[in-house]
Amino acid sequence: MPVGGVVSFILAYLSVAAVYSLLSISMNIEYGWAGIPNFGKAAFIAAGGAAAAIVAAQLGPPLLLGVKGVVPGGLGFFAKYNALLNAYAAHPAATWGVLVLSCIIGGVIAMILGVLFTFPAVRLREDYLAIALLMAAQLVWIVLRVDKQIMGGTFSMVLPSPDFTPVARLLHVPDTVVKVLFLWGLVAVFLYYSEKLMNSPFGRKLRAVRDDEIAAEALGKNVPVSRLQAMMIGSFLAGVAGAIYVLVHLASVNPDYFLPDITFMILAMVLVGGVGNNWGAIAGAMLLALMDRVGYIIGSRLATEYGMLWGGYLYYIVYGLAIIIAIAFRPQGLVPEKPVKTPAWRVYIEETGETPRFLKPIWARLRSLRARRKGKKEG
Amino acid sequence: MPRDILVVEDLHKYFGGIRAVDGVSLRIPERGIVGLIGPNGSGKSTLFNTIAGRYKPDRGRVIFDGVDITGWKPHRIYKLGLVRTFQNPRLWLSLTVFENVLTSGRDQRGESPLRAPLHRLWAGQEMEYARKALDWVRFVQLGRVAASLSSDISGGQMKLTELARALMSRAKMLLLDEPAAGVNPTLAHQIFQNIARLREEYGLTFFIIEHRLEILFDYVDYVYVMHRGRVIAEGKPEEVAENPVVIDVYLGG
Repeated sequence: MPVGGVVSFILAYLSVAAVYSLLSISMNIEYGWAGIPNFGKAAFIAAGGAAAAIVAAQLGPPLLLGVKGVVPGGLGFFAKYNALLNAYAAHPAATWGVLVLSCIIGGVIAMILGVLFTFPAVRLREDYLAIALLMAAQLVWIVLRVDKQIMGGTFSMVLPSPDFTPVARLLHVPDTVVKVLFLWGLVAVFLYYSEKLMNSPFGRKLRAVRDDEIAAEALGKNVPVSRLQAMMIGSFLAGVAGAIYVLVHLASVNPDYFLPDITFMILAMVLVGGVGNNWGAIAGAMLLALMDRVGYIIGSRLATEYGMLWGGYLYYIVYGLAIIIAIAFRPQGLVPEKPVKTPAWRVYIEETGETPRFLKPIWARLRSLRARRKGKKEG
Repeated sequence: MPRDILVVEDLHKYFGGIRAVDGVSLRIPERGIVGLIGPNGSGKSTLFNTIAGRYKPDRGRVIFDGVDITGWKPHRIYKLGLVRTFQNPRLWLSLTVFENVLTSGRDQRGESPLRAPLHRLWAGQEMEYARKALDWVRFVQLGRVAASLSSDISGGQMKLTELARALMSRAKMLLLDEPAAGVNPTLAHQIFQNIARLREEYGLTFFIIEHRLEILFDYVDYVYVMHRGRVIAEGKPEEVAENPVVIDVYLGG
């Protein structure tokens, strides 16, 4: 592979890994912290995708470009929409407006869907909730395919991707580099928010509900409300991430992007990376995105050059294996869950004069581990 | 006469054809330490579960502190100040002992997802609660394992953690389901001495299920005896101990 090929592979990988990181952080809030197996994640990502399509074609033109929008599905839609895309191309700022609006609208729609889908089943056992969410996601997918006025049904719609050229020119780097930096900046924002959110009494409450809901209820936690809160936050973030996914990463939208595949891909990332650890969610997303990319390359080679048509489905095998290996050999994930860090531990250290091991910085922990190993050898 | 803090009137709970609780009435006076005994399967734990809101009763009333709480959800009953422990400890196993106790503190500001990311909105209360939680952890003599994961401690220590957790909630009354099960005799006496101390210092009321009568009878003022879902005897411990009906139930089965 030439150098240019390697560089573009790495950039494409970093871009997709960032998008998956956003999604797996949001999944981790529901599954990792609150114990809700959200098998309907695709629906909430789809909310972001739908918002992007609606903003690009219908809301954005009057608000951002000062022209009439077009409703997908009608006759002559594509001709009119292409004219809109040209207008967007001439106004870089408008493309950013599309992104911001889509994120807000997508997040809010996803949050509302999260409440609607979870509310009837929130009192049920986890497996019923999982099935209800899976069905709800299928329902959303069917609606998006049938109702052409949202994202044009089964035709793909090209979207006005935010324009990175002005910044790229300023920094003398290619557009894709700026795009990757932007996406990882968003990952940092998501990570910062979820770390702040979870290292709090709220995070502790969610863990209590997850670990033993009967005890949580007996000690004053409103279990259904706690689950709904986690679903609302997770769904909001998924809606935002969905808008970013279609606008920044794919620059197009199609209902088939929101099949259950994506739900289980993200679930696998959380399982492999570390259930209940936000850094773990990112680690899992980075690892599986890499396996996915490499698997895709190998798989398509197998299919096109050796006639092994199953190569196109190699990534399913990769995800299945990753889940099995993770559960069998490292059920806590690459980065295991940590106790919840709040100022309470400051009080603990003050009063007892001891710092618990999990609060020490990583280098101190490694040093003490090495010292213990050495001691064992000598003793 | 102190007033009755808990009144149970003609409570029924059926599971299909099984009458687990079959018309139980009882009164627990404020600052009382009252025992509930009976053979296995006599309906003691079901009675607790029905009082504390885990099961909805089929008939009857539960009145706590002057409020009719029949059929209320457990988290609302907790807010009124009635808190229970479990026969088999139900700890939050991914949290440390210290956090298990801390989490049951009431009205935590940082439990709202909107306030949670802004640490300064709740850090003050959190630190105040942390001091209290640590006090309760030490009260039940678990200071040494406070920072251990609650999945890593012994069964007896789990029982003590449950007690500390219930105390942290600032309850008025505790329903303790076998607080001394699986605990050595010295520690069992210590637990009951602590219970007596809590009544003296904090005015707490206790209703306690316990199978180890020889320990229980040293500390309770009054005892209810259940058999097949009904209260078959009640009275002062020494009266109950000599009641032929009770002896028959325990020895004759």
